[in-house]
Amino acid sequence: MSRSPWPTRLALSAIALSIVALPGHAQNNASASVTATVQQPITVTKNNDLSFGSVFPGVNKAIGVTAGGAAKFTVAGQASTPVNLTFTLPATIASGGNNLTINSWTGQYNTVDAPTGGTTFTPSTSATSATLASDGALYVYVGATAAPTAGQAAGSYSGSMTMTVVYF
Amino acid sequence: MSRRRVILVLFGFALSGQPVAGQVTTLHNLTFGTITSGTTTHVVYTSSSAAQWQIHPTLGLTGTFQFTLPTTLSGPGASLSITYSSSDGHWRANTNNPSTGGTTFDPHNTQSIALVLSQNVYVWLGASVSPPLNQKPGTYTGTVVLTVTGLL
Amino acid sequence: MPVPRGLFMLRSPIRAALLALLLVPARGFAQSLMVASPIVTIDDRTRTGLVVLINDGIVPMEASISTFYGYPVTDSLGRMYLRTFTDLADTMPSAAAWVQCFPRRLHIEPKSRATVRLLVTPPANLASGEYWARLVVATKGGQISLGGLPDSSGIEAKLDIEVRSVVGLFYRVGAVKTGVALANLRSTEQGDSLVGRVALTRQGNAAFVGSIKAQLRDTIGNVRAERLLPLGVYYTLEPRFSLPVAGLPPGRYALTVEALSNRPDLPSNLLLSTVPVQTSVEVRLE
Repeated sequence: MSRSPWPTRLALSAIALSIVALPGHAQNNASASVTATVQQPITVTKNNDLSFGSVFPGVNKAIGVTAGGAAKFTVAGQASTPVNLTFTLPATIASGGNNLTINSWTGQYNTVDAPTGGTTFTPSTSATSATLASDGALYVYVGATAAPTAGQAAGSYSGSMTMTVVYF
Repeated sequence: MSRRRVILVLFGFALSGQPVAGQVTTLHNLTFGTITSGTTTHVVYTSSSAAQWQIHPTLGLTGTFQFTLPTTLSGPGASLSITYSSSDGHWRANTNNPSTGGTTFDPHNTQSIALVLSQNVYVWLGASVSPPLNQKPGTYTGTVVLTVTGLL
Repeated sequence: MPVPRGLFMLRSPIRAALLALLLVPARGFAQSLMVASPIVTIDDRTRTGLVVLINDGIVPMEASISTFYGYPVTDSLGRMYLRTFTDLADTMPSAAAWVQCFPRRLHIEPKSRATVRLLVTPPANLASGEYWARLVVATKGGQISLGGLPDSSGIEAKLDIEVRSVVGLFYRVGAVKTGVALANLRSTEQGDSLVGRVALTRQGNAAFVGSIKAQLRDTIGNVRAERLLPLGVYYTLEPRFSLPVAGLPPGRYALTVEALSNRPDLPSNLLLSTVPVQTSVEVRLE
């Protein structure tokens, strides 16, 4: 009695399919790595401008560091990092040929967001040493006095100031 | 076991949909490079920094592929979250260029594909990271796995 | 801001007050510049680097980039400052004149970032070692009004404010190596703090950029106070540090300072590694 051929063919097909189906040498998944190198920025934010409000001829107008019109900056970086602050400040600001005196610059830096209880300093081109707080922040407040003369001419007076933050 | 029974077992195994149907090769890792804490960095799938794979079928293939996506990267500080938008995945048959054609998909979802022998499928993956300002500087890593499941 | 027509129907003092409210300018809103890293490193293989600037504020920003030569030193009180020079000697390892910035001026929209590419073109036959510069990123965010009430005198005043960030740039040629030697560790108790000083002297041909970790240990070895100070030693440095000692019992302690070639604000791939070194002294708290 001869055997039916189909079991043999079926067997061979199944075996072939099985060989293909078995994982064997075929890779069905592959991995890719993901990498990111984090660095911490340094940030300087100018929060508030220096605002004198109304100015009248012959009447000095002082804005202290605790006044609402004081300039405010925030420096942010790595906790406890030392920094230097320097300032370039105008002695006068001009409108055409007329000058308006700005003097008596005052400053305070603090490790908390408050213009009191910090360290007072006189803003100048000489470096003021400070250290960022444990949360990496430093708050800097700057005030000044506008000193118009009695005969101060009307006009729009403008000038510029610079605050430089040095990182070591 | 009888010969017929053996044959049926083998045949059944072949038809069972065991994940096997193609060769998957990683062509490129996902590299964010140097990023700045306090900001968001997004690698789009068309970027040369995106992850990329090639799927090459052993035979004609009807099947699916899916990602195993990390939700965080590990490093010197706290775990860094990584996210994927609904348009961060992209695949394309035959052409190794994601910019001029193909299908954009949500990498969280399984994708179905149908290939004939000699075709390749290219898959790209982008993602976003947003380290907070207090994230400790250093290198953070994770792994993405692309798995292909084929049905004959 | 246009003045409402009905305002002129009011009595003069009321009108003046309302004018004040209308015409006093709004306070300046935040202008914020991020510089992606406190240091930039460039090597002689590529001679290129980059610095990323991020405008994290809500107003556009104009930025400019420049360089000068300087390095940190300490004063007699241990405070760090940047030593700069009006004239540079040929022997000074200054890279400032070799650095070109592309672009040198740029406009950055709010919540946007910009990349400035740096190219170093040094003189030929430069000796192996490290050459330094300081990168200055200056930004302006528009004019600010100081006064605002157009009173009868018609005086208005305004100041432009420019903010500058100064970071270090290191150009490395050939084989570079760094290290630091510690000496003369001493301290004094000042109120609630133990104030210390230590002398650091750079070794090798590259600046030591890392940290010093000061620890105060009791007689059984427990750390009772600790402070980490990021710094860079280019030649010598004698920084001041302080440890909080409020509440610590009087007695003998060990003050240890260790110099580490890593900084918490910088990824390690930017820094040159070296073997940590440390020094200790015994202190007595009263």
